[in-house]
Amino acid sequence: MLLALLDDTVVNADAVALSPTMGWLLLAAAVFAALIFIAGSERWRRWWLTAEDPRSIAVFRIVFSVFVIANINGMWEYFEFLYTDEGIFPADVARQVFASQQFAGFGDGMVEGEPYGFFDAAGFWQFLQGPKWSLLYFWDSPAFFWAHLAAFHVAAISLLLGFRTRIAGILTWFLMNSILVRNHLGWEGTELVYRCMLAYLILARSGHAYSIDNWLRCRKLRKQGLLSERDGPGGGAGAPPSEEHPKGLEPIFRLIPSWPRKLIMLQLATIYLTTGTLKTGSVWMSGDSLYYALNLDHFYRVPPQYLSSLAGTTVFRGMTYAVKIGQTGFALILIGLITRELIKQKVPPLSTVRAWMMRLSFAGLIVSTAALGMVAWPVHFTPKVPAWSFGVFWIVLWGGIWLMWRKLTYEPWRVRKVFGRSLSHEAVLDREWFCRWILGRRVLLVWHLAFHAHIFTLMNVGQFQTGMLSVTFAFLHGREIATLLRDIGYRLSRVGIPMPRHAKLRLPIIPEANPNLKAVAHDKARLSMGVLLLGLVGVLAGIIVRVKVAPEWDFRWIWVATAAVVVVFAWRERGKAEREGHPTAWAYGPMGRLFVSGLLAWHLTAVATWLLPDKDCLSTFRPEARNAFAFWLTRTTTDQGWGMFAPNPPRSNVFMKVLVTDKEGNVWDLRTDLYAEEQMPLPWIWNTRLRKMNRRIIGGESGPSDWYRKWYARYECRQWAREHGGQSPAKVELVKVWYQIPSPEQTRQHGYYDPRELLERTGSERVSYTENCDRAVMGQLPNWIRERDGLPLLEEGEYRPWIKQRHDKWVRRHEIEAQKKARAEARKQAKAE
Amino acid sequence: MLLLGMRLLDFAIFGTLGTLWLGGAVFVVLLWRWVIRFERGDDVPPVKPEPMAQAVRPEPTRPPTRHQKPLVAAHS
Repeated sequence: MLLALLDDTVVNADAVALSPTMGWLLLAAAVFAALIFIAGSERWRRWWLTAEDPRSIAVFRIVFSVFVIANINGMWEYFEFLYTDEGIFPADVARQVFASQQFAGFGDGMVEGEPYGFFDAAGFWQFLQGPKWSLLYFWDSPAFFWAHLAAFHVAAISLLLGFRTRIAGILTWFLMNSILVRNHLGWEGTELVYRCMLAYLILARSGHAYSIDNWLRCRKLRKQGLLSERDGPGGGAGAPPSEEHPKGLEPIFRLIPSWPRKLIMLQLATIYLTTGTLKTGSVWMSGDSLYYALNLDHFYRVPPQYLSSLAGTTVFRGMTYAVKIGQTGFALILIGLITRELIKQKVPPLSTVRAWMMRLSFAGLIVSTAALGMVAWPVHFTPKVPAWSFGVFWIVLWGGIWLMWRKLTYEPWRVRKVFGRSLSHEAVLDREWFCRWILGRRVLLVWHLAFHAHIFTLMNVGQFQTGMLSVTFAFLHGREIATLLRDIGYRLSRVGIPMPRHAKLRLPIIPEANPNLKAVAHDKARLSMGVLLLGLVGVLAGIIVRVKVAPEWDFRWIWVATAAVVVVFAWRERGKAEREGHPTAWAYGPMGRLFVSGLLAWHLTAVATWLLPDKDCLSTFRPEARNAFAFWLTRTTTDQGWGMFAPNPPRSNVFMKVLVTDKEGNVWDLRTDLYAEEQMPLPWIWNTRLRKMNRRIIGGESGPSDWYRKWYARYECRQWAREHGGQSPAKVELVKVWYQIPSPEQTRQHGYYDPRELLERTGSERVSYTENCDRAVMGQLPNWIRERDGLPLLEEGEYRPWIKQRHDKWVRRHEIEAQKKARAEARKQAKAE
Repeated sequence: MLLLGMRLLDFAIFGTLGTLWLGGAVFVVLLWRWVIRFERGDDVPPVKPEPMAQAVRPEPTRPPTRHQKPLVAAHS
């Protein structure tokens, strides 16, 4: 009750009342979307389940690995602060504040009757369930951390070089996350990008090109006379058995499953679409976001104030809209890519039944999404027009898109003259052209490059841009990469830089493996539409049972049973289908395809559900729906949220000042933020996490982060003692310092401002937290660090540990569970009698 | 310069940004040129799956026409 009163979030009761309707409409929209995919199941499988050239993902592997290493190394100044027992959270505190559930069965060994370690097998099982599998929760001395970091470097460099690529990838993923999940204080959106993309990368066979692994393989095959080479049979693409080579020849670049690369592309589109649609605040709408973002003192590389005074109300507004529109529209690149790919693959047209199913489902999707908008209309900030006008607009818009698509397909525009001048060739503006230009990579990827280049130049956000930019390579095909590298090599060779022969002579690139070789699957097995519809019905039945019946058992068993039935049908189909004859080079055989396809459907639904916006009109089902996928997403490190500078960017500059009062009563300012001149190097080149951590501690970030303050103040108590002969200070105060950024109009009118002068003149200060170092829990430097540093030891009772009584809680929890079980059992028996 | 309220730093910033904009524009133009050239002259023909054997309905043998003479007759 008290908490409810303190909570300043105002719940929109009208919106909450609409939530169940919104839930059913969303489900209807999801069912129509699923029906579209079922009707076009041939397209789905040709997009996701084909095999492809490995060179694209290989280049992504190399570039991305560099930045994975750079991102972790970027925290070097704070390694000991963040990840060791000399920092803010010693292991026992970290276990409690970041992973209490996971470590519920693990004792700290601080009180009698509570041993250090897992209490029993159930405690260990609880830990194994994750999601924070970090070695640093067990061992966190500086020596262990450095060894852990070294192991991460070895793994990541192996991944970069492509040496034992598969295992190196898994180790890099594990060790990177082992560092990151030990402490969330320094996390930025950057961490989410690296966790997600790395999870997808390690699913790809990225070591099949540009790697030591493939080089060693080719060397071995060459020695055995089994490699197809540039000038030999197959031209490097492999050759079937012949008289000369009875075993056939292996290709240099084997085909690999394409779906991990496609997931990476989809993930980038998802990031943009989510962040673009969440940017709904008034600052974005008025076009002032770039102005405010650029004038945040924590971010700019060079002072932006003068530029802001000239361009803040003109060019910056244009750029803000370019960001907003670009982010919201970037996902169209996938429509372009998928359409072109399917046109290239010559997918046969749909049968009449499927075509009508597709049309009706598409119409259903439009109507259900229109209804979603209309239902939510009264409880959102919307243009002042009635809800039905939105519905009409939406249906007309999609109807128009539908008609235009038909025109592009069947009666494309033919252009012979532009501005009165005749063209040398007639230009046909068909679907292919439209997907190449309007929805094409050459436009949208250039926007992506330009967007990040601008942020990278103007602001310092660590390795966020580099990680996002490296994803660009996943949008290119292997052949494009190979040709591009050769052409760059050719240019460089002409200015005298030594290059390999094929680049110097601009020889044709080596093709990827011949898809007609025996090793590639071409079987005709496929799931019938009936089985796919049965699968959909099973999924729907699970949801309806959960909502309407709410059984005691986990409703997801219905999904498991459905999956089992689908597997049985697939197994039968596998036996019946012909081995050869399908024109597509599949990534796997029939059962492999079923498994990956199912996994993709599950994962895409999970991410889509996870990213439902946190709105009152979705509040009655959103937490429950997310819960169904939480285990999967958090364990695969693909849980995500992309509300960057959304709904509005901050409009004030916030800093943290740390004041230490020693035992003599002298007050010392630790000069921890930009209000101190030495913390503001200009131009700002090397990123530091200090600024993010300061904002998070002192309240310059969204979300509940006040609890960090006490731990940070206690750390400063201990650190002061370490640096002052073991003598603790009397108290530590954390002060929030801030000033408002003038509006773009003010800056235009009055000219540029000097941030330091503005802070002095208009800034505010407030003590947000005070810690008494002698009395605070863990406010004293413990004896194990004093011994390490050779400092005088504390007397018995002077150190105040944090006793969590984990063992008692663990035992009590088991007792309660046993009682619950017994009660349920008794109820059951009573019912039976 | 004083009248405009500009500092040396501003010149440096504007100079760098201007160069980056021009550099970026040149990059985009070169990239597009390369893309269009790549599309026109993909020098490695894509490896396509071999044509699949199609089931063909056997056509009935045509009965000999009246004017057709037996082959042996031609030599006799």
